[in-house]
Amino acid sequence: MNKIKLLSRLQDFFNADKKKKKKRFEEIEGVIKKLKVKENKIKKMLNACQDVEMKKALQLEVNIIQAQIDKGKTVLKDL
Amino acid sequence: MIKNSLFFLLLGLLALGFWLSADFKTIVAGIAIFLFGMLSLQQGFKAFTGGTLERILRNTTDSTIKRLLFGITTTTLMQSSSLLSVLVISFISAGLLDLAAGIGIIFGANLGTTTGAWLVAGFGLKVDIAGYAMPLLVFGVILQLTKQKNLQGIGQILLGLGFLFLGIQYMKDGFDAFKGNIDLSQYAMIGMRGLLTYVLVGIVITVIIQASGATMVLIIAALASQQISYENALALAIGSNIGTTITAILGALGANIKGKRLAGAHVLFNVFTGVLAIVLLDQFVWLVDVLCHYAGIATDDYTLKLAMFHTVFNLVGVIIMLPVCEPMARFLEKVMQEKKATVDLPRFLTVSALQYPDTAVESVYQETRHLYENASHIILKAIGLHRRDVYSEQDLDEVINKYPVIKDYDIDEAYERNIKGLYSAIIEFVSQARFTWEMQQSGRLHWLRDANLQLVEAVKGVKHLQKNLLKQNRSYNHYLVDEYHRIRYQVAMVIRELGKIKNSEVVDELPLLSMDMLKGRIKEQRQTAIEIIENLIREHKISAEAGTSLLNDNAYVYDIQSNLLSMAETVFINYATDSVKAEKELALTDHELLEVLNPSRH
Repeated sequence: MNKIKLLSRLQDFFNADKKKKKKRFEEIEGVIKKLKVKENKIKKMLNACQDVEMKKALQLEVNIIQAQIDKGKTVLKDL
Repeated sequence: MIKNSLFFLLLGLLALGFWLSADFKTIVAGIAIFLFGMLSLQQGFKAFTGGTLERILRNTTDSTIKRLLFGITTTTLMQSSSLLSVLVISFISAGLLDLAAGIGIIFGANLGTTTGAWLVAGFGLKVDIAGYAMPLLVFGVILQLTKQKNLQGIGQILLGLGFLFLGIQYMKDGFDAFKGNIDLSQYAMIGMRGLLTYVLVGIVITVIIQASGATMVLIIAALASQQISYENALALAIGSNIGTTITAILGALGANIKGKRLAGAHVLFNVFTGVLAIVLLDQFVWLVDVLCHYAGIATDDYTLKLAMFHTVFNLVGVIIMLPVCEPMARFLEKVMQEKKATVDLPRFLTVSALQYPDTAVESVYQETRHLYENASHIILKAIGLHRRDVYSEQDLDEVINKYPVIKDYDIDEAYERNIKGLYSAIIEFVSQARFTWEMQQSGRLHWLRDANLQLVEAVKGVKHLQKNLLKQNRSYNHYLVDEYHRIRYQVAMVIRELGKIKNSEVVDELPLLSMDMLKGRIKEQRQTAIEIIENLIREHKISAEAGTSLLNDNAYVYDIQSNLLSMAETVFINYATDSVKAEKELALTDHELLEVLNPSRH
């Protein structure tokens, strides 16, 4: 094993926690991205919807997704 | 289809007969009035079965002779063994009487029915019986109008007797008039061919009329007017004895296994005595002649001789069969065994799965999904829907409108069959496994056990819901109907959404976070429902009683939904995936959800 390879491995070992954090960050970011896609989809449905009750249900979904996104953003900030 | 066709064919033939012959009309009217009399008599005696008959039955079953006498006396009084059979079946079912004792009573009842022939032959045909019928009918109607139950019962009995007498008179008159126009005696047959043919005719007539007493009166009336020969009348009596078992068989179709066994004993006895009478007919005829000689019955009094024959061959049957009551009961219990309800058994819980923690957890997980399938099926059935519709793409409102009427569904039976056994097996498996392993698997099993409990609670919740759902679903008040439509929608909606999560259709759409949507929806639905119900009560669109029932039912719906969601969180979400781990950090708590639902309050 050459010196460069050995140093790289040692760096990996000491930065394991950072790596984990990075992975977690990316995953939460991924979830937020998916939530935003979902939110846009529901918003489109909401605009097209005529039924009052259905509109109410869709609006609730948008609000919940927004709350989840906000929570996700707070988690990301803390990381 | 065939049954209906035969029924209409019979009606058509009767109508044709009425059109062709006025005498035929009189005879058939006599049978109809006689049968109506029998029904009235039974109804009248039913008024006294609230205690007296049961008390006598309870006190007279300790010896074979007492059982036999009880059967004879009761059937003689009621002129029908049907009511007694029902009573005996209920006693056997309740464990107050064993099958052998019941058989003894039924033998006695068979002997009791033969007294009808004596009454008709000795009294009915020799006096103007219709003269007695009229006062009986008058007194019967007057007593029927009283308020006392016992007097009403007596009135019904008198009415029954009056109609019986009137029916006999009509049959007698019909045959007398018939004699002037058509001579049925020209169809008399002799020898074995005649015997078997008339036995068959007797069977067919009794199967159609479904009352051997009425058939016997018909035979006696025909014999008295010499429309049939004595030999053929004997064969008809044997046939009627065999044919009467059809009533027992039909009655037993709707009865439990104990009722079926008793009907089996009835069939065995009647067929045996029938065959015995056919084989030993000459000996029986000789015995009847000897007995009639000693009883002072004239040799040409064929109607009384027929009554004697009817009694003798039944009595011989009882004498032969009574000692074998016990073995007969054992035989019937062996041959006619209770079909055990097909209980759904566990598919994944095996002893070998207990050996390894991971396989044990996986088995319980799979079995819980199995239980969910059964539970969701029961829940949907109880609200009058089918899985295939709920899991389809069709709009849920349309699905519910497709089934506006909810059929009564036996949840208790379904629970016993599809839930209880599985649930018990899961609990037993978990309790055998959970303390022996490391923490991780034990914890998982603990959550799975709770998920199963939540499923069972959901099924119990729908049982509470079912009562009002069945009642109010057909209400004239459309506000109530709309609210129960909403209830059905809410339950079906959760099951449809869970179906999507379970089948991983929304994996990419974040299953755990989708649960938040569902939780939010059910909370909001509940709030909306309460507001709507309160408005309906305030505006007097529904009564306060109906409103409180609706509020209770909405609470049941919320419990059902919550239990299903909690179960799904444990069972349908795969927490091992990285994506779900990330979702967990974004999932809203109950408090956060309420903040979204009611932003102004927070």
